[in-house]
Amino acid sequence: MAAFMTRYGAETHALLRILAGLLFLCHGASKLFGIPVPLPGEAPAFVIYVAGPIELFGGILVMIGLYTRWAAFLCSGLMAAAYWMAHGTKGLFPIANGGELAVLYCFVFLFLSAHGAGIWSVDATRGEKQPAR
Amino acid sequence: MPGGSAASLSGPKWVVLGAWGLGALSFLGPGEAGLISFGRTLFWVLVVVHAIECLVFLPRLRRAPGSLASHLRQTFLFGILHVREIPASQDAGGGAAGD
Repeated sequence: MAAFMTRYGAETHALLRILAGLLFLCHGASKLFGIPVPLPGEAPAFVIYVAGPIELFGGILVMIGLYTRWAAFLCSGLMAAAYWMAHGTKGLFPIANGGELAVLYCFVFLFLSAHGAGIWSVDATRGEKQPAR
Repeated sequence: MPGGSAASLSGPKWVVLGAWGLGALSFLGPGEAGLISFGRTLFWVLVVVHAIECLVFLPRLRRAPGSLASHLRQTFLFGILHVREIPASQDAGGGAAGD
């Protein structure tokens, strides 16, 4: 039972990276272009013009695994800042202040920044470095 | 279609082709809702991501045997799935990973 799913560690790491990047870039595309859905309300200009591009391009880089560590670190920092600017002042617990998504993104990107892109990535293909399985 | 005839396509390449197909078909459907919107977003994500991969791997594709246009077409369609099939011996000095 201890070995359950351990053989899929590399694949699930890559899936986490791809999905986190894809979901994150949708936030940027939504802020900048209204794709796939426009923002529900008015957002401050710095959210659209600072957070939007970081979310869009950071999400793309993380998803394809190009300069993953730097891109994920930047995205993680953005989410930490977003949490404390938009949610952290409204309550102590993320479940109460609505900041759970920002917290999750922050720590997922921090994990990817520390662990790198893994398999199925541009970084791995460029350097032909495949992690040990 | 060197290395990419229908008979020789690997499973992952069929998945990518399916994603392209879904994306392209979504432009034929009416409206913006549900699967149509998802398909169009998927299409543009594929366009942007594979265009970036074409640029990143351009030096490697230039050194690969065969026509550059064919390699670019394959990379635009399949991304790193095609680049990984290029023999490593053709890729000496292929650039350091950014990671």
